[in-house]
Amino acid sequence: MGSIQLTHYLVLSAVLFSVGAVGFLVRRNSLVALMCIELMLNAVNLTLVAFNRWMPANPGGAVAHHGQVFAFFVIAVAAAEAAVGLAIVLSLYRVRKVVRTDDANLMKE
Amino acid sequence: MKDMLLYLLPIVILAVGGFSLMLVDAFQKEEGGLAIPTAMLHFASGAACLALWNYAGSPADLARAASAFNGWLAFDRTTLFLDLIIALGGGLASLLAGSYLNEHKLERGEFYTLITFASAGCMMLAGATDLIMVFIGLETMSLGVYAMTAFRRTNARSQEGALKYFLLGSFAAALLLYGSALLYGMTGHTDLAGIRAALAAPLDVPGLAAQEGGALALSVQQTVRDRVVILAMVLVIAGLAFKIGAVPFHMWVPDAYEGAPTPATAYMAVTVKAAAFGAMLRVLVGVFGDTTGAASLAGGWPGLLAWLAVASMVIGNLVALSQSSIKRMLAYSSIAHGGYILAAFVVTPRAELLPGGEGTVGQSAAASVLFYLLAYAVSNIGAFGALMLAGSRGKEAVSYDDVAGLGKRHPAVALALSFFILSLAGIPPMVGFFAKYNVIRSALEANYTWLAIALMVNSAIGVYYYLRVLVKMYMHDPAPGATRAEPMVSPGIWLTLIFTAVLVLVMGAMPQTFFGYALEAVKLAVAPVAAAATP
Amino acid sequence: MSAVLQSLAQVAPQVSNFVSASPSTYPVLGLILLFPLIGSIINGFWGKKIGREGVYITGIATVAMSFVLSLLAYATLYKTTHAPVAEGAAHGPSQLSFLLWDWFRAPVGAGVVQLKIRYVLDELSGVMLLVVTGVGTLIHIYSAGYMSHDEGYARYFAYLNLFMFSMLNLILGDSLVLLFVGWEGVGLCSYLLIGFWYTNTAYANAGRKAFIVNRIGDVGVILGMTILAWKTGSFEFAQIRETLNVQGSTALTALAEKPEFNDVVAYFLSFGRTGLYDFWMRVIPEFTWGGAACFFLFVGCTGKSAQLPLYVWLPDAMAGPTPVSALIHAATMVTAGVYLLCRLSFVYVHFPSVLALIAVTGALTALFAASIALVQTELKKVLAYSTVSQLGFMFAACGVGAFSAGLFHVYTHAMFKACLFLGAGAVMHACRDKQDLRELGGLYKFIPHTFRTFLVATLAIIGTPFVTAGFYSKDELLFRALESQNSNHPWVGKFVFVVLVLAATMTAFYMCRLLFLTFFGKFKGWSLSKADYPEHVEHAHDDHGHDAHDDHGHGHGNPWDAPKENPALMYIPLYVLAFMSVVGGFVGLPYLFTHKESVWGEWLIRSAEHAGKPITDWAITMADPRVHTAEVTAMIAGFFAFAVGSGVAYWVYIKADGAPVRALASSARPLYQLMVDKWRVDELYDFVIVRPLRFASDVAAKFIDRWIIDGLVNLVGMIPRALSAVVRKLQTGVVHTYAAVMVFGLVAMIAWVEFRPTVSLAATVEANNRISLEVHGGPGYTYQWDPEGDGTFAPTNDEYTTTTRQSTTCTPQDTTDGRRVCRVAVRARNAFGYTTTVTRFIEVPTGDREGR
Repeated sequence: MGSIQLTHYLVLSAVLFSVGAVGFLVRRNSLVALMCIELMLNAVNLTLVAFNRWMPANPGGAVAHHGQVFAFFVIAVAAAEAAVGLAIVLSLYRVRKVVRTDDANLMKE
Repeated sequence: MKDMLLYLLPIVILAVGGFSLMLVDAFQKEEGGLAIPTAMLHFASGAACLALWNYAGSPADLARAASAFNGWLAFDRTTLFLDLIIALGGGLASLLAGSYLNEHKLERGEFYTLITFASAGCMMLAGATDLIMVFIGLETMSLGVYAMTAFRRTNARSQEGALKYFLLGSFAAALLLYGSALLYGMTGHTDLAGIRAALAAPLDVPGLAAQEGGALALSVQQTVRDRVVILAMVLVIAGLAFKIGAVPFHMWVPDAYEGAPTPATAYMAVTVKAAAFGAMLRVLVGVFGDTTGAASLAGGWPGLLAWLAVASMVIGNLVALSQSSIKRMLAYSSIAHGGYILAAFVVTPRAELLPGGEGTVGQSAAASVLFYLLAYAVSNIGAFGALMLAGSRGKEAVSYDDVAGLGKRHPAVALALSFFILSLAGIPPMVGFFAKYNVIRSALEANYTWLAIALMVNSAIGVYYYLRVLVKMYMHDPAPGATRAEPMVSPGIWLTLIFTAVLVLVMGAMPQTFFGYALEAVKLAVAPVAAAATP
Repeated sequence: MSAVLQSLAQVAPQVSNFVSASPSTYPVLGLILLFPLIGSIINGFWGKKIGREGVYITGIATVAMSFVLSLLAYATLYKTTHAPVAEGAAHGPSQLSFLLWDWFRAPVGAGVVQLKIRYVLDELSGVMLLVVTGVGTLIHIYSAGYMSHDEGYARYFAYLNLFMFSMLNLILGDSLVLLFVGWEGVGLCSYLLIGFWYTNTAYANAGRKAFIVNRIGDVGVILGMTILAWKTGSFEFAQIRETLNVQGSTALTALAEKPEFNDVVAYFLSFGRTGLYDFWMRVIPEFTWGGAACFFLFVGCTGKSAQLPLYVWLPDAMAGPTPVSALIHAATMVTAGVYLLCRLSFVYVHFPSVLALIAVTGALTALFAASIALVQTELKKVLAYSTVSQLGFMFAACGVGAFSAGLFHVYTHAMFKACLFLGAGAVMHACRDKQDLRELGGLYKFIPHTFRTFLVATLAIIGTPFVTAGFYSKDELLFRALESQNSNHPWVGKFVFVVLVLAATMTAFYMCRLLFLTFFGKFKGWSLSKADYPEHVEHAHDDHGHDAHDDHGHGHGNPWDAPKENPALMYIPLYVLAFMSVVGGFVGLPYLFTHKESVWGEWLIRSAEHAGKPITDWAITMADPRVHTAEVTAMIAGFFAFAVGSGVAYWVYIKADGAPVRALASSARPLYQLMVDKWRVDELYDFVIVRPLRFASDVAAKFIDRWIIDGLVNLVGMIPRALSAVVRKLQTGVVHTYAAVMVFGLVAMIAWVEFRPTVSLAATVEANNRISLEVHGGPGYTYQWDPEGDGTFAPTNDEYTTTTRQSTTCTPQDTTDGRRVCRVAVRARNAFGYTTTVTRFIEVPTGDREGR
């Protein structure tokens, strides 16, 4: 059991995901929040790729690469998401000169 | 290939149309004028759905479509019905936008591109039968809607609402993704049918059982798999529940709805909900819905969703009670309506046969979901449209006080608004009543009596704050000195209002006809799996 | 030209196909309803655009089209029902119907029924249809003249057309639910039209009173409807009728069942007194479900048709425009209750006690309202109480089982009462809205057309022998009352007869009084010379205060001008109605004259007359010699009522110029005042219901309210508000809170699926106590079975299997209430190792004991 197994990857990605989630919950800077989301998405990517790497082959011997395809899509979408997110953060900054998320509380109750 | 294009038609029209709109917008000299083309695109897409209706009725059609897309998209009548709601919502919302954006000096072509692509995303999500497709559809939809929310660029509330929506939406999407990844890892499949099949069979690792201690290892792995699958299911539910605004994933709803320009609010209240419910139907009923037998609880998700439903109704209605802005009230009530729909949704895995050839209890419940979505779509878009029209030039009518005296000032708009409000409140003979009636009937058919009672009590609370709008309109005069609203002049909004008002009345007069279409739409998607022979 | 003819020739057969399509798809019925609806929509939305003329034309033309089509439909119905009958069949199809679409499915009892939007024309609804569309058309025409000075004409015609649509729904609907939709629709239109001049507070209040009283009745209708449908398994009239006509059918048995919760009800109603409890326990089990249904429906009818004790709204309803009073509050809507009784006659005949109640209520209402009408001084008030009284006649007729006689009176009453109301409207129109009898008089010179028609209608309502419709319908009704035999309460017929004769005498008196005071003597409205006009003008304004109506004048140029006859648009309908008040009765010539069943009776015999019950239960056959005696008696009594009533009125008001009344009024002051005050029923209700409530609330406000009730009431209202205030605080506006709530929810959800295993257990009972079981958990669930219910789980107590199906033969146990159940159990474990045990008691058929 000396070599690195699937489990290691899964635990690592779970830790990464949790770090991202906790960071999202506690950090008040909207840019950091964006980074935390990226972290969570990358944790998912790691999970997907790791699962795909250890996926048993089909009876025919071929291995389906759904997980890796999925990861590519996640990367692409994450880029688009980051673009939209940064645009919104910028736009908010232009109107209200704030980047901290808890300053954006005009609307409540 | 021919089949593929044919089945893709509703999405293709919107996607190609979206690109064309972008081009037109880039090369035209002045802003504006894109509302009508966008609406036409949506209606064309809706017409394509209607035209495809007869090509999606049999299992053979379904198999052909499935093979054409390698099982990524399902083109059955459920998809078409949801696509129709989405096309209707998108088309009417862009008609509303045409006048609204002009009025508020926001007219820019991007809005129409965004709404068109978002609709395409909604349709992908509604038909997705693969986790990758679910994710792509969800994000295509969401990114468009985030940007639409932030469309009032100089308005702080708009930006704030968009930021909240975006951050929480991305967070929820990450949860959904993690759930999807786990499901993939446990089953080796991303397509829902494959996942279902893999879960139905006991775990088998080739060669493991033969090894020493293999049986134990196998059973441990089996347990791990079962646990992780359940966790993944909860994560996926969380991701989708966010989009329908179910409690406790509802917090973004009021802020985003209030901040967004009103056409975008109307749009996302209707289409996003429809698409997300479609995806839930595919994932939860399709994978975890144990529809083999007479009474199914399917891994506990119906019980879970029943709680979400009640929580959504209660919290949505309670907070809506004490709102002073109609727009925000409608936002909270949209949470409550999500709860009502969920109440029918929890019944979908039930497979007892109903008397009178109405299919199974589950099919009837799924049809109730679709019917409710359609009823909610027309009532809600109409209500937002009437609210827009009631506004003064450059100033929106959003608070209760803004509509005081509307009955005298603008009787036609007041009449239309009262139709929609009555429908949302669930008062016969408007369609909203029959939508709720169907949900209650479904809940009772599956012996969810407590759920039905909760729904009725909550409807009663709802009636209170809905009728406040009518009271304000007809029995109150505007406060002295208040700015007299100069009603907007807009053929686009009028067209929308007349269309939706007629639908609200017609669907209320012939509910069973429309329910029949909904029932036909779910016959294949919620078909009970043929029961295995009794041992 | 020839091309046009040719195309016409091609179209013609299609048209004739269209109108004479098969009885089960007769689209004309749909059109009859559609036209008023279209009229209402056009006038409601585009009334201002199309202008005054446009509104009139739309309003009148749509209803007139309905009337023409109704005639056509009626003729077709006649043709269909009188078509040669095939060999062996009892009779031809007796109805035309048109299915628009399936409406919705409603659970009823154990099953589910399909409710349809389907309209049915049979003999009964045919009669009502002609009355409603015919009188409706005339009144629409009249309204065009009457409302010619009113600003709200478009709104008025929109409401009136909507009323026609609702009323047609009520008449033609094939099920209780559709009838109820129409019932509510006419109520709504009535409410809107009573409060038509809503700027006047008194009128708006009258509207509100009608609204509240009718809601009380509606509760009755809903209850009765629900019970009836629950016990018979259907909402459709035809189906209910079919099930009830079978002797000993399950529906009949179910209706004859007595409520099982009598103990509970008696307990609640006895307030802890044993005496009261015993009393209720004796009374309540006497009621059957069917009797309750009939009773509740009758309560609804008393609301809509203004019977004791719910009649109080109708006199106040005269606040609306006079044509509305004529159409809605005299000729059509208020007869809806009678129509409902006739429609459900086949149910009612099974419950003689309820019928007796209806008969007595109707007769007393007739007498009571007539006594009030004797002394009223307002033209429309007299007519209003007269309507209540005449409705009482109709109810009494239904109550003695003579449904067709009741309907006959509905029809003749519609003619003469509409004529009277329209005449009253014409008088008011000519006399600057004066309607106090003390201010009118001598009008026959000024408004001769109105006078002539009013005279004829009065002669009809007081039952002038042999020539008027009123005579024949009243005679039929009295005769049927006399010869009826209520199996539970044999005295009812005689009692009703006596009371009705009294009421008829009073009718003759007060109607003649009305006629004499209005048209004879000297005109007292205002001075017809120039002398002192200003004060009279002011006076003219005080009473009937729709100012817009007055200000624009009625074409009287000078204040001292004499009343002028109204335009032809207004008096032509009067002539038509007056004509019908005379000849309309000849369809119901008594047996005594013709020695055969009248046209009317024969026409209705299938749908309303004896209603499926053997004829001997309800009426002696025509050949019976006693019929002859009864009929002669009734006729003599009718003649007596007419002669005495009108003779006394003639003596009092023409010969003695009202002196006897004044003398009587002064000598029996309290009684007279009591009658003028309408027996103080409003005050009584105020005293018995409104005051105690107010008193109680006052006391409560003073002593308890501020401390307890107020707190409690506020609490009920406050709970949601307080919760709302708390919950909305959660919405802090900060995105982190939102995310935290999400995460918290996610954790709770995970906890729920982990710690709360949920499974469902389905069981199918097969023959010989064999039970198939099926359990459903989901991914990761494993099970242990205990199909015998003995507490031992298989395979072992620690081992779980993935088997989800079991089949077992159980040993049923008897329960205390005589059922036999099998106990089965399954224990389920979810993937996290948490277990749950589901135990079910499955009922097996008791018949299996013998089968084994």
